[in-house]
Amino acid sequence: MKAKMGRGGLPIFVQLLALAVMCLVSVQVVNLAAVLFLPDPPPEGYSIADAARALQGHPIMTQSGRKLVAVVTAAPPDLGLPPGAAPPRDPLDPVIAEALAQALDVPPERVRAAVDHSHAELYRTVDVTSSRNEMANHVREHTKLIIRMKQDDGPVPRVLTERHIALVMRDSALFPPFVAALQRPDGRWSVVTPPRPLLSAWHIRILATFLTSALLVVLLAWFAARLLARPIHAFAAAAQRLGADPHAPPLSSQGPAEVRTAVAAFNEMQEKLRRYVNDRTLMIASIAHDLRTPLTRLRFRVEASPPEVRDRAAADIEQMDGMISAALAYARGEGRTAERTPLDLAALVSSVVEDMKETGAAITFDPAPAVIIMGDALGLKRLVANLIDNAVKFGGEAHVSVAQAQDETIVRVDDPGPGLPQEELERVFDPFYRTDASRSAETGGFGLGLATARAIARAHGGEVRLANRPGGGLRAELVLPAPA
Amino acid sequence: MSAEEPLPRILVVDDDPGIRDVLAEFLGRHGYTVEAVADTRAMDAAIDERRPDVVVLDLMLPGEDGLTACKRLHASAGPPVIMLSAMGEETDRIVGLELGADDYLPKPCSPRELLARVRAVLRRRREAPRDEPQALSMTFDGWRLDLVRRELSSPQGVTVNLSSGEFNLLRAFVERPERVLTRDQLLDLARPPASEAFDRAIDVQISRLRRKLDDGSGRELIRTVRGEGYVFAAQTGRR
Repeated sequence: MKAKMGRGGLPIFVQLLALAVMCLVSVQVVNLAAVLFLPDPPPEGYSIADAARALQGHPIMTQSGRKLVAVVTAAPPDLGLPPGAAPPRDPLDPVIAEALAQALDVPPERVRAAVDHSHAELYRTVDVTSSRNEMANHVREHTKLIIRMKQDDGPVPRVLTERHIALVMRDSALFPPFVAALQRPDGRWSVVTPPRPLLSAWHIRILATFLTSALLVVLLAWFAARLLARPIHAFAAAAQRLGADPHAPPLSSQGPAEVRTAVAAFNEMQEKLRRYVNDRTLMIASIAHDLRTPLTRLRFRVEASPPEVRDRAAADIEQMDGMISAALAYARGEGRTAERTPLDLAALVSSVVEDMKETGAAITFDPAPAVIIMGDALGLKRLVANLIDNAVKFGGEAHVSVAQAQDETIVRVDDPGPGLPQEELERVFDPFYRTDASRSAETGGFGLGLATARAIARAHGGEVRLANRPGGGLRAELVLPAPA
Repeated sequence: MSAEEPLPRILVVDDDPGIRDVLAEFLGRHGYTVEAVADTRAMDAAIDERRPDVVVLDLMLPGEDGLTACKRLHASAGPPVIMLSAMGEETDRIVGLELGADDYLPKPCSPRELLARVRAVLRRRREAPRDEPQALSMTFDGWRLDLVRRELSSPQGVTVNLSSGEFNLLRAFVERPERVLTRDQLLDLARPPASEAFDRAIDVQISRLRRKLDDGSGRELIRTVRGEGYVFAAQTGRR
């Protein structure tokens, strides 16, 4: 683990470079091993015995792993030249034909053979000259034997004819690929042609080498990618936590140099943001305070006036105070420092609903089982109250429910009102923005209710959304992430 | 105020001269002897010399702020304090009350509201012997009822919010444990101000409370006594 941490501390640049070098080296090692330890490719040719068996109708595997099969044709195979023609026919052809005839025990005129020069690449794999030298050796070795065998029967041949050579060569010697044909008793021809080179065993071994290298590189890359991604993942997760709670402690500086730099920049930005929000909150708070002092004096001064003047003045003062409260609530929602405690969201929503029902508002609530989240109870209460307040104001009544999905908790506030035009659904969250309905009606809003609600939701890592319901009316949703 | 009792003395502490004037004038008109000072140093001197019955204390003051002064007065068993502050949010109120203020009133307040609070604080002081601190929370069976925040905490430490009706009802139960309370008694004790509650409403609130008090242990804290009412079946403590 410690070693891993140490490696995690290297710059990403160095780690990537090391990965590339390691891949290169491992591929080279595999290739080198293949070159050193894989056996040589077996010769592509086949022996007279193989060809004879194939001609007799028994398919056979050659040494290089190919199948020799005889095909029956009406005409003798076109060997490129008429039999018995002068060179460039290969000098091996009559030897092969003779050996085949002996092996098959048929008259030579019923057998045709020709080295297949069309497969130049195969032809190269069996060195004809060395074959022929080998043959000469064989012949020399065996001639004595033949001579001994023939001594009793008749005259010893003085010249080694093709026939003698073929006699010796027919069993074991390997010839370059050749076409062989045998005339069957019914006059048709059995023909064996060199198999097409698709994938020989050699090819497969080479391919296996490639695959091994590829697998090795993929494994290496996978491991290295995980190692690289881990500190970045950790950074992203920590940044997300910070987004959910702006007052979370700063990120700790860990991981590769690049990530450490990003963490430092992130923390600095966070600190600036926090200071900015705090400054602004302080400013709004002091404005609110400075406004409320003269309002208080005014409130006490009008107390001595005639009741009708006093009451109307009191109502005006109350309205102004309401605006100040809204501005303060918004500022606080943005720059909250309230601590988070575990709380039951369902109970919270229920308590807000019950309290609001005391004022005679038409609100229904579906009882829900406890949903435990981490949050700031006062902020969330204000948030839910704002959503319900809007539904009652603009929709006449509110239907509230709490639902728990897999990784989030949703508080829904539905109203049967006129809903909102599509283009207003987002704009109503702007601070101090008011719809025409809100402006004209005696709803007394200041355009901060939804802005405040959203600020509080985002401070909890959640979101507030508005949507028109298919059946009519507006749906406001508070979505909060499930506690980790 | 009856004639034989001495006039209660009220000390107003506010850095704004206008506020000092209007408060002194208004409270004076309602039969109190009012003294107004600008900061807590003058406040301490006035308390030492004239022993006011109530202090109306502003939150934002030059020098020592109102909250610190309030905490100090509470610790030294000084006169009761009504905080009067431009910071009228729920959180501010809670902080003030938790630091020992007897009441917390946001600015701008209605003069009659201030008068009512002053009278209530004076009455409470007269009824309860001096020096007995007000309970901030009550406990029962692992649960905690925060009387300032009006919140309930489960034995697992989870905050369970209560509506004001539920809170008043639970408070009535917790302050009178193991006693049968009739619906009428509960209505009197727990009725939210200016609301018309019915017998049914009590039953509905009790079923909601039971649900919120259900921590899965199967214990029933609020028991029904057939034909009589309800009883709260748990030992309770004050803090």
